[in-house]
Amino acid sequence: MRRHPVGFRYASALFETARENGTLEETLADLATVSQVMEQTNLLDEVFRHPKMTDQRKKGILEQGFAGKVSTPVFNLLRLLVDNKREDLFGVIADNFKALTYEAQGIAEADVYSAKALSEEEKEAIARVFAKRTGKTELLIQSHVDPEIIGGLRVRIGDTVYDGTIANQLARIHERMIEGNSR
Amino acid sequence: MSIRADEISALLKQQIEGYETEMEVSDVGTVIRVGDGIAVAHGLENVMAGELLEFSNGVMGMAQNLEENNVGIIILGPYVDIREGDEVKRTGRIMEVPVGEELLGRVVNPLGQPLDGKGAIETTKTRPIESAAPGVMDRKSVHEPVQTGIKSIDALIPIGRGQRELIIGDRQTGKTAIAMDTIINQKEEDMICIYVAIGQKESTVAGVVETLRQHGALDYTIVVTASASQPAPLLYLAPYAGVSMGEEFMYNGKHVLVIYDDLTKQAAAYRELSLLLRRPPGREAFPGDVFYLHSRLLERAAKLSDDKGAGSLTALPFIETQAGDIGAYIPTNVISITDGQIFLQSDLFFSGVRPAVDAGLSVSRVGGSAQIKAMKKVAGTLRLDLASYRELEAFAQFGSDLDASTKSKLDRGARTVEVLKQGLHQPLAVEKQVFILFALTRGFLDDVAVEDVQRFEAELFTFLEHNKKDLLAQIKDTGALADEDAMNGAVEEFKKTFQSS
Repeated sequence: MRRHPVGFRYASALFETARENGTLEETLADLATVSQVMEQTNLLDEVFRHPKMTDQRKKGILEQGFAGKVSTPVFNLLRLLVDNKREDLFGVIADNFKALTYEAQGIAEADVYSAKALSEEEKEAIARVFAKRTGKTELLIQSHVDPEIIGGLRVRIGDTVYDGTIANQLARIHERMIEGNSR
Repeated sequence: MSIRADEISALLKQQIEGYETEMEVSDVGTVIRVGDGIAVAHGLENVMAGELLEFSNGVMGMAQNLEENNVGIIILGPYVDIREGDEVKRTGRIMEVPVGEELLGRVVNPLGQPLDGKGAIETTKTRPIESAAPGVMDRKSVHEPVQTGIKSIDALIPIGRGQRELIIGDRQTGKTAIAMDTIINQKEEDMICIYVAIGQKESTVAGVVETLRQHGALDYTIVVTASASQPAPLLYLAPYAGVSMGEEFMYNGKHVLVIYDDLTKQAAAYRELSLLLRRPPGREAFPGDVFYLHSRLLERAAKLSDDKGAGSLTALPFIETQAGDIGAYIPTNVISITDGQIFLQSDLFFSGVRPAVDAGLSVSRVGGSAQIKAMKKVAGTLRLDLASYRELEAFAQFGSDLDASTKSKLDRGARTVEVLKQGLHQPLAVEKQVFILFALTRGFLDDVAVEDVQRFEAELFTFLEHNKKDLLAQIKDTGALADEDAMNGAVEEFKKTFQSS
């Protein structure tokens, strides 16, 4: 996880609160909902940036939109961000919070690239193998199809890439032939 | 050697069949910003400071700034193909250069890749470009001389093996010429020379290589060049690459001379990449660690103790000043790091005193103990002679009546200046230097006209080579003056045959 210098402070504060209340799952879901809404409505990147927008009206909009629908800590976070003029950081905070939560629960996200679409059993098998390898309890697999890798798999977990694709092996053979030695 | 095509195919087939289909595991990051010679990447969580990184197009980089949420990278090669969003891979290696005797006679870039079109360099060893300097117990004080073959340096500002002697002066005052002459003179001295050209014109470097080749000096020289057209990171790395190549020889008990031409440009390159990496600028916009940049480089010059093989690495850093201002930031820094400096004056250069060494401002803090005995004896009064000459010269321009002692001082001074002049690429063996300085300090030149001094010198050497070879050999072998009467006799004998013009 890359820590955003400011966002991470908010994220860890929210994380502490949620863990004390035992509402990690719920908070995570709330953050995802809010992020989705923000994205769909352009609330953060257009509406809130309008020169005539005041803090009062921002809070009004948030109250209308989210009061009662998300948990109090998340709603309070939104209002606090407006007060501190840090509402731009919401996306980063959500990301950092997710990373913190996953770390605490031993979950990791994995991007899997394959030449053909994967079946559910295959996904499960990959999750099992790589969860063991990385020492996590659970892997959430995001599957991507990329015909250019020809065959095999390319798995990215955090900053680590496990590359067993045919394309990569061909590239390495190519390199070795140019260098003229076998390592 | 002839290999048939089917043999190659069989070999390749074998390699392909035996290829392990193992999974490649690598740590990666994503480029978020690319500037002139630098990139900033997100990710790369476990990267080490100074680690080599590989961009997706094969260009290498070096991790410099490790920050909370990004990594500053200097790019070691063409950076125009690197785009935002590209992947950067960790290699797990620290920056290294190839080292070994295979490099001798070659021209390489700071990564150790050949630039002279003579094919691959089959080195077997590498060395990290940043390594710790030898410690206190590993060192010994400097006691053997580096014979530069330049009279004014060997006599007045002697350099010892393992010393760091700064050569400083304005542009066009003959700094590079001193380096060339010194390298050329190492032919008989069992020295390995490394010439590091930083930010020089390609044409200048080509000229240097050609000069060395013509004088047969390339056989024991490595030229490391990062020319003006290379990106700043390579200019910044060039001296470290050069000193690493030299260290390998030093730790094997050999003597090495490394010339950094010049460190002003390296400092400017470092300033450029530091500003692009957003490090806070300090005086003259140099970053805070610009002193450490040079001190850690020059600390690696050393004379090793006998336990460590008694090798040595002599450093001759160059600094270019602006209009003779040695009080600027980089010159004062490097003056304080080195064991003395040779100051070249443009006034002297244009008045025909070449090499344009300013005897008053130049010093060697440790070289005195490395001078051979004979030289010490004849050169002892030289500095004083020159100083009093420069002092009186100014007065003498006004007055016409001079007393005898003043006049004799002026005459001696004028002849001293004349003797210390030396042509380009004509380094002089130490025994000959001793002989002409002997003739000068014992007053044999006082009745020779000033314009005849250089001819006198040349003819004296010819005479000695033909008639008094034993005297020259004796000085060379023992390092001490030969029998003084015999030397007096030789000079007197020659003087009888000398025709003044």
